[in-house]
Amino acid sequence: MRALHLVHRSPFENNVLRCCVARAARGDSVLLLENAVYAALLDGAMAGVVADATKWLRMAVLIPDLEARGLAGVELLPDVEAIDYDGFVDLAVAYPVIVTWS
Amino acid sequence: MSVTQSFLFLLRQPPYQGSRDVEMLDQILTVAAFDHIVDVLFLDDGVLHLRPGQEPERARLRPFAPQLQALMLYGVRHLAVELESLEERAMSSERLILPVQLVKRAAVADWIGQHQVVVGC
Repeated sequence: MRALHLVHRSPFENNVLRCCVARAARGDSVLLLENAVYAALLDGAMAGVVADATKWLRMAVLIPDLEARGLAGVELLPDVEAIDYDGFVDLAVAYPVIVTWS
Repeated sequence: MSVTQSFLFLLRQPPYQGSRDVEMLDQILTVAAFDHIVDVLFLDDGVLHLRPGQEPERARLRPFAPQLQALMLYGVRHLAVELESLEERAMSSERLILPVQLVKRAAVADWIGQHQVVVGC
Protein backbone atom coordinates (compact mmCIF):
# COMPACT_ATOMS: atom_id res chain seq x y z
CA MET A 1 0.00 0.00 0.00
CA ARG A 2 1.17 3.50 -0.75
CA ALA A 3 1.27 6.24 1.86
CA LEU A 4 0.72 9.97 1.93
CA HIS A 5 3.15 11.69 4.29
CA LEU A 6 2.22 15.03 5.85
CA VAL A 7 5.06 17.27 7.00
CA HIS A 8 4.20 20.56 8.66
CA ARG A 9 7.32 21.66 10.53
CA SER A 10 9.92 24.02 9.11
CA PRO A 11 12.98 22.18 7.76
CA PHE A 12 15.11 24.89 9.35
CA GLU A 13 13.70 24.13 12.78
CA ASN A 14 14.16 20.35 12.79
CA ASN A 15 14.96 17.49 10.46
CA VAL A 16 11.53 15.92 10.27
CA LEU A 17 11.38 16.22 6.48
CA ARG A 18 14.61 14.23 6.15
CA CYS A 19 13.25 11.71 8.67
CA CYS A 20 10.11 11.31 6.60
CA VAL A 21 11.86 10.99 3.24
CA ALA A 22 14.23 8.40 4.68
CA ARG A 23 11.27 6.13 5.46
CA ALA A 24 9.09 6.77 2.42
CA ALA A 25 8.59 4.21 -0.31
CA ARG A 26 8.89 4.77 -4.05
CA GLY A 27 5.51 6.00 -5.23
CA ASP A 28 4.53 7.60 -1.94
CA SER A 29 3.53 11.26 -1.77
CA VAL A 30 4.87 13.89 0.61
CA LEU A 31 2.78 17.02 1.17
CA LEU A 32 4.54 20.08 2.57
CA LEU A 33 2.14 22.22 4.55
CA GLU A 34 2.21 24.93 7.22
CA ASN A 35 5.85 25.87 7.94
CA ALA A 36 7.17 22.97 5.86
CA VAL A 37 6.32 24.93 2.71
CA TYR A 38 9.70 26.68 3.03
CA ALA A 39 11.30 23.41 1.91
CA ALA A 40 9.81 23.88 -1.57
CA LEU A 41 11.65 27.14 -2.34
CA LEU A 42 13.95 26.94 -5.35
CA ASP A 43 16.58 29.07 -3.67
CA GLY A 44 16.18 27.62 -0.19
CA ALA A 45 18.78 25.59 1.66
CA MET A 46 16.60 22.47 1.46
CA ALA A 47 16.29 22.60 -2.33
CA GLY A 48 18.84 19.83 -2.90
CA VAL A 49 17.19 17.43 -0.49
CA VAL A 50 13.74 18.05 -1.93
CA ALA A 51 14.90 17.93 -5.55
CA ASP A 52 16.52 14.54 -4.89
CA ALA A 53 13.33 13.29 -3.32
CA THR A 54 11.26 14.30 -6.34
CA LYS A 55 13.19 11.74 -8.40
CA TRP A 56 11.36 8.91 -6.70
CA LEU A 57 8.63 10.52 -4.60
CA ARG A 58 5.71 12.73 -5.49
CA MET A 59 6.26 16.00 -3.62
CA ALA A 60 3.49 18.56 -3.23
CA VAL A 61 3.11 21.86 -1.43
CA LEU A 62 -0.07 23.53 -0.20
CA ILE A 63 -0.74 26.85 -1.96
CA PRO A 64 -2.76 28.55 0.81
CA ASP A 65 0.09 27.93 3.25
CA LEU A 66 2.54 29.47 0.75
CA GLU A 67 0.28 32.49 0.30
CA ALA A 68 -0.16 32.93 4.03
CA ARG A 69 3.61 33.26 4.40
CA GLY A 70 4.16 35.77 1.60
CA LEU A 71 5.45 33.11 -0.78
CA ALA A 72 2.76 33.41 -3.47
CA GLY A 73 5.09 34.69 -6.17
CA VAL A 74 8.27 33.01 -5.04
CA GLU A 75 9.85 30.46 -7.34
CA LEU A 76 9.41 26.85 -6.25
CA LEU A 77 11.29 23.72 -7.20
CA PRO A 78 9.90 22.71 -10.61
CA ASP A 79 9.08 19.12 -9.65
CA VAL A 80 7.14 20.07 -6.52
CA GLU A 81 3.47 20.26 -7.37
CA ALA A 82 1.58 23.20 -5.86
CA ILE A 83 -1.93 22.14 -4.84
CA ASP A 84 -4.93 23.82 -3.24
CA TYR A 85 -7.32 22.40 -0.63
CA ASP A 86 -9.22 20.42 -3.26
CA GLY A 87 -5.93 18.87 -4.32
CA PHE A 88 -5.23 18.04 -0.68
CA VAL A 89 -8.55 16.20 -0.50
CA ASP A 90 -7.77 14.33 -3.71
CA LEU A 91 -4.44 13.22 -2.27
CA ALA A 92 -6.00 12.19 1.03
CA VAL A 93 -8.54 9.91 -0.63
CA ALA A 94 -5.99 8.49 -3.08
CA TYR A 95 -3.82 6.94 -0.37
CA PRO A 96 -4.98 4.22 2.03
CA VAL A 97 -2.43 5.25 4.67
CA ILE A 98 -1.65 8.78 5.85
CA VAL A 99 1.33 9.43 8.12
CA THR A 100 1.69 12.74 9.95
CA TRP A 101 5.30 13.52 10.87
CA SER A 102 5.11 15.86 13.83
CA MET B 1 -20.14 -3.25 15.72
CA SER B 2 -16.42 -2.91 15.79
CA VAL B 3 -14.00 -3.75 13.03
CA THR B 4 -10.49 -4.77 13.92
CA GLN B 5 -7.86 -2.64 12.25
CA SER B 6 -4.11 -2.78 12.31
CA PHE B 7 -2.37 0.24 13.83
CA LEU B 8 1.27 1.22 13.66
CA PHE B 9 2.52 3.82 16.12
CA LEU B 10 5.73 5.55 15.06
CA LEU B 11 7.20 6.69 18.34
CA ARG B 12 9.56 9.50 17.39
CA GLN B 13 9.68 11.90 20.35
CA PRO B 14 12.35 11.82 23.05
CA PRO B 15 11.46 11.27 26.70
CA TYR B 16 10.80 14.08 29.20
CA GLN B 17 8.99 16.49 26.88
CA GLY B 18 6.23 17.54 29.23
CA SER B 19 3.32 15.13 29.15
CA ARG B 20 3.87 14.01 25.57
CA ASP B 21 5.13 10.58 26.49
CA VAL B 22 2.13 9.89 28.72
CA GLU B 23 -0.29 11.06 26.03
CA MET B 24 1.43 8.88 23.48
CA LEU B 25 1.14 5.83 25.71
CA ASP B 26 -2.53 6.63 26.39
CA GLN B 27 -3.20 6.58 22.65
CA ILE B 28 -1.49 3.25 22.20
CA LEU B 29 -3.14 1.56 25.16
CA THR B 30 -6.58 2.90 24.23
CA VAL B 31 -6.34 1.42 20.76
CA ALA B 32 -5.06 -1.86 22.16
CA ALA B 33 -7.91 -1.95 24.69
CA PHE B 34 -10.38 -2.01 21.80
CA ASP B 35 -8.77 -5.17 20.49
CA HIS B 36 -7.15 -3.64 17.46
CA ILE B 37 -3.84 -4.99 16.27
CA VAL B 38 -1.15 -2.65 17.55
CA ASP B 39 2.50 -2.50 16.55
CA VAL B 40 4.93 0.07 17.93
CA LEU B 41 8.08 1.19 16.13
CA PHE B 42 10.63 3.37 17.91
CA LEU B 43 12.21 5.79 15.44
CA ASP B 44 14.50 8.81 15.56
CA ASP B 45 14.58 10.36 19.06
CA GLY B 46 11.91 7.88 20.14
CA VAL B 47 14.65 5.26 20.56
CA LEU B 48 16.02 7.29 23.49
CA HIS B 49 13.18 5.89 25.58
CA LEU B 50 14.94 2.52 25.36
CA ARG B 51 18.27 3.65 26.79
CA PRO B 52 19.11 1.81 30.01
CA GLY B 53 20.25 3.55 33.19
CA GLN B 54 17.93 6.56 32.99
CA GLU B 55 17.57 8.34 36.34
CA PRO B 56 14.86 10.94 35.71
CA GLU B 57 14.43 11.56 39.43
CA ARG B 58 17.86 13.22 39.46
CA ALA B 59 16.42 16.05 37.39
CA ARG B 60 13.04 15.93 39.16
CA LEU B 61 11.44 14.40 36.08
CA ARG B 62 8.75 11.76 36.12
CA PRO B 63 9.96 8.22 35.35
CA PHE B 64 8.40 6.88 32.20
CA ALA B 65 10.17 3.59 31.65
CA PRO B 66 7.89 1.63 34.05
CA GLN B 67 4.85 2.78 32.09
CA LEU B 68 6.53 1.83 28.85
CA GLN B 69 6.87 -1.70 30.20
CA ALA B 70 3.06 -1.79 30.25
CA LEU B 71 3.10 -2.07 26.47
CA MET B 72 4.06 -5.69 27.00
CA LEU B 73 0.99 -6.33 29.14
CA TYR B 74 -1.60 -4.74 26.92
CA GLY B 75 -1.35 -7.02 23.95
CA VAL B 76 0.85 -4.91 21.71
CA ARG B 77 1.83 -7.33 18.95
CA HIS B 78 5.25 -6.15 17.81
CA LEU B 79 7.64 -3.80 19.59
CA ALA B 80 10.38 -2.79 17.20
CA VAL B 81 13.19 -0.29 16.89
CA GLU B 82 14.95 1.09 13.86
CA LEU B 83 18.58 0.03 13.82
CA GLU B 84 19.93 3.22 12.22
CA SER B 85 18.18 5.45 14.77
CA LEU B 86 19.99 3.52 17.52
CA GLU B 87 23.34 3.75 15.76
CA GLU B 88 23.01 7.50 15.20
CA ARG B 89 22.61 7.90 18.95
CA ALA B 90 25.47 5.57 19.87
CA MET B 91 23.09 3.01 21.35
CA SER B 92 23.50 -0.74 21.33
CA SER B 93 20.59 -2.94 20.39
CA GLU B 94 21.83 -5.41 23.00
CA ARG B 95 21.26 -3.05 25.91
CA LEU B 96 17.70 -1.73 25.78
CA ILE B 97 15.04 -1.59 28.49
CA LEU B 98 12.46 -3.49 26.44
CA PRO B 99 12.76 -6.62 24.31
CA VAL B 100 12.31 -5.21 20.82
CA GLN B 101 12.90 -6.55 17.36
CA LEU B 102 15.33 -4.73 15.09
CA VAL B 103 14.11 -3.19 11.85
CA LYS B 104 16.37 -1.66 9.23
CA ARG B 105 15.55 1.79 7.85
CA ALA B 106 15.03 0.33 4.40
CA ALA B 107 12.26 -1.88 5.80
CA VAL B 108 10.29 0.88 7.54
CA ALA B 109 8.34 1.82 4.41
CA ASP B 110 7.11 -1.77 4.20
CA TRP B 111 6.06 -1.65 7.84
CA ILE B 112 4.09 1.51 7.18
CA GLY B 113 2.47 -0.01 4.11
CA GLN B 114 1.34 -3.11 5.98
CA HIS B 115 -0.91 -1.23 8.40
CA GLN B 116 -4.29 0.38 7.96
CA VAL B 117 -3.68 3.26 10.34
CA VAL B 118 -0.31 4.84 11.03
CA VAL B 119 0.08 7.32 13.87
CA GLY B 120 3.17 9.45 14.26
CA CYS B 121 3.68 10.41 17.87
